[in-house]
Amino acid sequence: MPPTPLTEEQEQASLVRRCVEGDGAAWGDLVRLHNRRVYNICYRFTGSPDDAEDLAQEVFIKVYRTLKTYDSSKGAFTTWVTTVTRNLLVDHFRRSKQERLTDSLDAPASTDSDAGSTTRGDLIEDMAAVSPDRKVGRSDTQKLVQQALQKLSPDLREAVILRDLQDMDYKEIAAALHVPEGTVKSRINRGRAELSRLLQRTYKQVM
Amino acid sequence: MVDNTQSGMPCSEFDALLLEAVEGKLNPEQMQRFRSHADSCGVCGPLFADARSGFTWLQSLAEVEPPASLVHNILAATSERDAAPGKVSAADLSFTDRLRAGIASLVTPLMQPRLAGTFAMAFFSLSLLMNVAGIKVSDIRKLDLRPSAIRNSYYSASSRVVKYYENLRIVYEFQTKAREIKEAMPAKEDERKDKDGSKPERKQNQKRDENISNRPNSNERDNAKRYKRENAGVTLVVYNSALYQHSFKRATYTRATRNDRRTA
Repeated sequence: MPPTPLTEEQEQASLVRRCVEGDGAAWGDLVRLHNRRVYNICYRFTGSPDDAEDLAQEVFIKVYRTLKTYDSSKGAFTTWVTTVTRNLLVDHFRRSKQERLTDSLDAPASTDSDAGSTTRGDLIEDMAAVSPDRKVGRSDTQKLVQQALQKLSPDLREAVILRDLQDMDYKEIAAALHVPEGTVKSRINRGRAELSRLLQRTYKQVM
Repeated sequence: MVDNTQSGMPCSEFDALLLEAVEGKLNPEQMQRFRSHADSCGVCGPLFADARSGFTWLQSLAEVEPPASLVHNILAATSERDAAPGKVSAADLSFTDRLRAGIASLVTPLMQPRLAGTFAMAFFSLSLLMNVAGIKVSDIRKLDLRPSAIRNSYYSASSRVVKYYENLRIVYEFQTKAREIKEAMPAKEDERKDKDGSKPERKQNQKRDENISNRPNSNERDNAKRYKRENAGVTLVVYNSALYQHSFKRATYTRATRNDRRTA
């Protein structure tokens, strides 16, 4: 009887075991498997390619250091990596919020307390630069959505990123964020609705 | 949300089904009921429209390509820290390895140029101080630090101190006695001078003695008795030595008087 093929989860658990045993090649495989996903989460959360790169690197260093603490019986490796990523992102958000608060003592106060580095004025300028015929092209749309995403609160932002951009199921998201499934669903709904309202307001201002 | 039942579906049920409805995961029958409620409810209708619109916007976001150097940077960063992640945990290391790692973690921060400079200055100051104080490293090296040797050194040092103190005490006692005897001597001299008719001088000496000792001047035997009575605790040796010294002085005095008489 031929051996049954390993599932993706089992395969990753095996890679982790090899890593812990000192197999450098297995670690390389794990990095190549997850770097894209981690980078995308970081990029969508921060909106900055540089920050995303730094954070992704930080995530893997943290994963590397704590690899022995991963217990495959408690969940998939992907969920575990997502939890590490999310925790670092939240830390980064708090740090950058603190920096913004410090900067605001010198600079004029902004009305967007939860926004990223891009203000509504920037958004309008970006939209005004777009051709009136096409309204917004695909890349511009992505830019606008990304900017609106930055305006969501971190709780809503992480929920919609994991669900709509990373295709994680509610159970996995609940495990990664350490919140009940009902809370995850509620946050996703609110996040989507809030994002839509933000974009509608932006369009109304531009039109 | 107000639990308003519209088209056979309460708002709470609508809310619970909202996520699946937006993602198109409801069966046709549920979807029809859902839509009917959304169309008739003033709160749930706009919420459904917003959620669906937001979902569509988010779907338009494509996956971004990570920088080409990301994997390389991650592997470089992690390989700098250790050869393999499995060896990161201290639990797997032997005791000597852990000890070495612990010492290295303590020493490494101290090897920073700033701290190394401070230590060099401290070492230089210490060596300078030792040179000034006349302490040589070779002397320190010769120190016997065995417990028994340290104990012997302690006892010998303490006995030396006790002996020194005792000797000093005897010397002081000798000096005190000698001074007292010396003070008693002019009384004798005065008596002799009385015989020679030098009364004013005797009176003067007597007055001085009274001021100094505040004791009645008497002859040598009385003095000896008084010393014995007052200084019963003083050792015999001290007393005898004092007597000897006194008698020696008396003999000298007698001889001097005799010579004076002859000269006269």
